[in-house]
Amino acid sequence: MSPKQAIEAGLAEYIRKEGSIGVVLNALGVGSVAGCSAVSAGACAVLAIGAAASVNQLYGDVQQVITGKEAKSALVQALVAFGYNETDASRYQDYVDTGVLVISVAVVGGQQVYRIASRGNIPGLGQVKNVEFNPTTGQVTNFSTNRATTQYADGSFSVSDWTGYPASVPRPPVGTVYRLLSGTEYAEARKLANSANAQLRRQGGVPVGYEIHEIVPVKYGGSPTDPANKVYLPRATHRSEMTPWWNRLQMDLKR
Amino acid sequence: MTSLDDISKKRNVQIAEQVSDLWPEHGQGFELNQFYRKYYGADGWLGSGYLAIWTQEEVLSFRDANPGVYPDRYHFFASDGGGTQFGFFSKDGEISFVSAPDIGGEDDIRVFGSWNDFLRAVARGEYI
Repeated sequence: MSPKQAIEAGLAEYIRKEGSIGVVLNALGVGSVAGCSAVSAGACAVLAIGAAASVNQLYGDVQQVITGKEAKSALVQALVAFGYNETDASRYQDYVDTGVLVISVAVVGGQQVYRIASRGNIPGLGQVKNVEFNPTTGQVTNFSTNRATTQYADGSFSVSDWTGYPASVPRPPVGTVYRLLSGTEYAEARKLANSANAQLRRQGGVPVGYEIHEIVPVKYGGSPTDPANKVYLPRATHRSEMTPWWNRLQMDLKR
Repeated sequence: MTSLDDISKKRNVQIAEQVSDLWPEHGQGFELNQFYRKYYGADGWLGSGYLAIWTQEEVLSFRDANPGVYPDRYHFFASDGGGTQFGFFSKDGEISFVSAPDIGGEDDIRVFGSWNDFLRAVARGEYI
């Protein structure tokens, strides 16, 4: 038995004898465990052990797989925190029931976190691995969606999965082949786009509070100047929905 | 010299005393803290460049919507109304203003320097 297993076994036995997690926490110098009221008794015991271990610097963390309503709720919260709208995020709950998505609860640094992983690829999410969601801070880390893309030999690619793309925004034409620009090439293209956008504004067609968005983003090889590649979006739509979608794809492609 | 006074369509705050500084660690003299005490965002021309300074709520909302795109030390607060955003970072107590494409990475950031350098670059359209 490893030292970690011995600590867990000892604490579990103590909790069983005392019959109350609170008594054990007080004895260990842990005031309370965040999230205990929202999880099963078994998961709470693990949280208590993790909190005690954290306070006493015994070891990093322990975790336990959870299922059902709590697991689904954690999944949706994590996806929403990452930028999905609630409707899209809710569609993935069935994967929890079928065991394809595995949700665990753990304590890291004294705080409760949920960990999410998938057994195999999920349409729109890909292979989910090493995802950690902290419901206290709303932070999601190590998230990988691996959206479905087809890579070509010259570095270009096509996109076939538009999950999470804002319904109110026109999509790039079907069959578009993309290429990520970088360095000087991207800087020069952006200058052209900025100049063209300023000209559009001076012509008076862009309402205050709206922003100019390239349907095929300049970063993805879209035209920086063609008016047909431009659309006007409310600032919140542009910055809270559209830009995050393309940035997530960029991060996926770099993995 | 270019100044914020040159931007049209600034929206005055209703009760200035109730406005909390977004970046209190940089003090009351920090230009953006001063701006938000007087104005609730702005949308307008500054020379040949368009400058949309977001509301405080938008600053926080847009930051949360784009995790991991740029390192957390960059604080974005405005855009050109298109695909470029403006922000700043602090190093060794000195604040430097920057521009960055909405979709990009740290390699794409251009550093202007001071607040006046930032305003001048926007006014001349010299940003990426």
